[in-house]
Amino acid sequence: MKTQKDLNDIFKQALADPVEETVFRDKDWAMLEQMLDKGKKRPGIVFWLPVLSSAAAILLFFGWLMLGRQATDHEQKAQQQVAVAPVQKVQPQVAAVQQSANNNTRGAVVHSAITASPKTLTQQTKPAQVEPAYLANNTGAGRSNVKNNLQQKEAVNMQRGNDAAGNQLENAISESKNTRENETLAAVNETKVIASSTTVNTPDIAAADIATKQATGNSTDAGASKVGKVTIKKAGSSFRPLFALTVLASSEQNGVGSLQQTSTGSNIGMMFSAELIKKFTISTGATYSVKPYTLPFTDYHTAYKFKNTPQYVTADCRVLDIPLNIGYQVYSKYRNKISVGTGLSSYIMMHESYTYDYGTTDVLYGPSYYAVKSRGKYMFSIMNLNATYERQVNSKVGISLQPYLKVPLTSIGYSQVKVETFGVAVGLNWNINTFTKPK
Amino acid sequence: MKQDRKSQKVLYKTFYGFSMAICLRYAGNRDEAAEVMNQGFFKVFTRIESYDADRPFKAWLGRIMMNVSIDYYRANLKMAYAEDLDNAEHIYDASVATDNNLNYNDLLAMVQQLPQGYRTVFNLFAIDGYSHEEIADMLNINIGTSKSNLFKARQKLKQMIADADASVNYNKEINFTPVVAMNGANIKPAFYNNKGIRE
Repeated sequence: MKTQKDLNDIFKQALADPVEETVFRDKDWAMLEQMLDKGKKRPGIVFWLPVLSSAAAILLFFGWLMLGRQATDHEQKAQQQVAVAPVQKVQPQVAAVQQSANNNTRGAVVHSAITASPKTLTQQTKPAQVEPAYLANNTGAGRSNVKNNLQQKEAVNMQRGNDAAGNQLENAISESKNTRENETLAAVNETKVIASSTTVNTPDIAAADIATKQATGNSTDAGASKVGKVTIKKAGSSFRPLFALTVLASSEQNGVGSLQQTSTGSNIGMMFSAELIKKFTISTGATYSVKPYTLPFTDYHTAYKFKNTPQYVTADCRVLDIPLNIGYQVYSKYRNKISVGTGLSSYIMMHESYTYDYGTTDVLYGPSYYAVKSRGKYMFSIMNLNATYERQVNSKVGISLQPYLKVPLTSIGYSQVKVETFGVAVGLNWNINTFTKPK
Repeated sequence: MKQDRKSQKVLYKTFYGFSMAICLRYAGNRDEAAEVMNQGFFKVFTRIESYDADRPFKAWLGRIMMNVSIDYYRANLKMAYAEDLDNAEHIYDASVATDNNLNYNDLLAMVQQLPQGYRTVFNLFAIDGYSHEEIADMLNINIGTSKSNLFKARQKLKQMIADADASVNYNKEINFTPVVAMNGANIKPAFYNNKGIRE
């Protein structure tokens, strides 16, 4: 005869208070011992990583302010230059100039450039939150369901802060303890001797508590002297390295010495990121960037002697940007994550050419275009600062938005200029870990 | 802080069954449960200073085991992706008709067969007594997702119970004919000619 039963009750009665306890396995203890041994030797969290990431965010902000001021200075400088230089009439001439002879004295010729946007894909592993007290409702073997129900109710009361219910649970502990192995009993009983000199609720729970404290080397006196509410600390998460691929594209503004007079560039690339330490992501990859920019001739450096001085130089640079960045996740909730990052980029110059603008003159005398033939390599010459917002679409795919700033640490390219770049990259992230089964 | 390994082992063995019972509910199998449980004990041994001696140790331990189970869920299944039921209050008949007294192992096996997202929500709601709001907060999911996962978990469990009932009834009703070993010497072969007529 079938009877109607509540699904929740069926499972709650059986699973919340299992009569059959799982048998102890030595191999489980061996695993824990290994963890504890490793834990002793485990180095502390690399303290500079969060500091560096925080600095990235701050620099990103102050970088804007600083560059804004520089822009004003450059504007003034350019205006002075224009005012001083008289407009000269020159003959029309559009030809590639033989500057290579001069180039030889300069070594490898490359350009300053702009870059890719590294993407840091991090996975949410938030630490556990402090939840209401757990229902402790273990009882001895062979109890009836009715009794189980009563104890569960008592446990619920305890969860609400009812101290009286706690005594029931403590009794339950003592009963369950009686069913355990003799060896365990003997060991626990040993601790009872110590417990008798301390102020605890019941002898049984004291034994359990003291066993804990003895296990960790904590003195019973210290434990007993604790009075009042002590909040349980957050439990951490079991961390597993996470890997992701990101395809990104961005539009960016390039400027020499400022971001006030900028030219629009773009880039596209692919990044690989790995979260090897909780919340910290390391990422690398390659992006192809098109970086046009314009600079006053006074900022342009060349060994070639122009007969007539151009007013402006427009550069067309295309670089392969290889960044190496670290990111720190500062926010993660639901499907949204925010992280800040910093790192260094290396540039490989793929194309570098300059067009010279002589101003509003009818007749030009002088070179108008120069293409640099050699490819320069600039290792770790650009500092990257970025902030990334990521939204997970599903467990495999996410999209990201990443504003970034690239500040050159050295002069780059044939013209030896420092080109700052600010851009926003849009990325499509693919979580590689989705297909790997957890251990 | 001094780490007395011998005492740690005593404590571990004493509360092994209790802790494992919690982790088994949240994990997919015994080995996974053991891994999660060890994470919990690692925290117990390394963060014992956060334990309030005035409170029952078992309750504290149980909380830790549940938290590490949830952390494991979060680490390995970052997105328990399910449609939200925010706009539709789900009315679901949580009762099931059964004449079968399923034991602990049967029910545990059923729960472990659930997908991780469903299993975690079902455990938190049905067994540990948390509300959908609390579960959503714990797991970083929407309330609608929590409701959806619970709904689907119940559906699957109901089906499993029904299957278990059917299996028991089948075994009761069917009379099996025993297979008797045959002696090859007693078998007389039949021969047919090319017209299909037995000779």
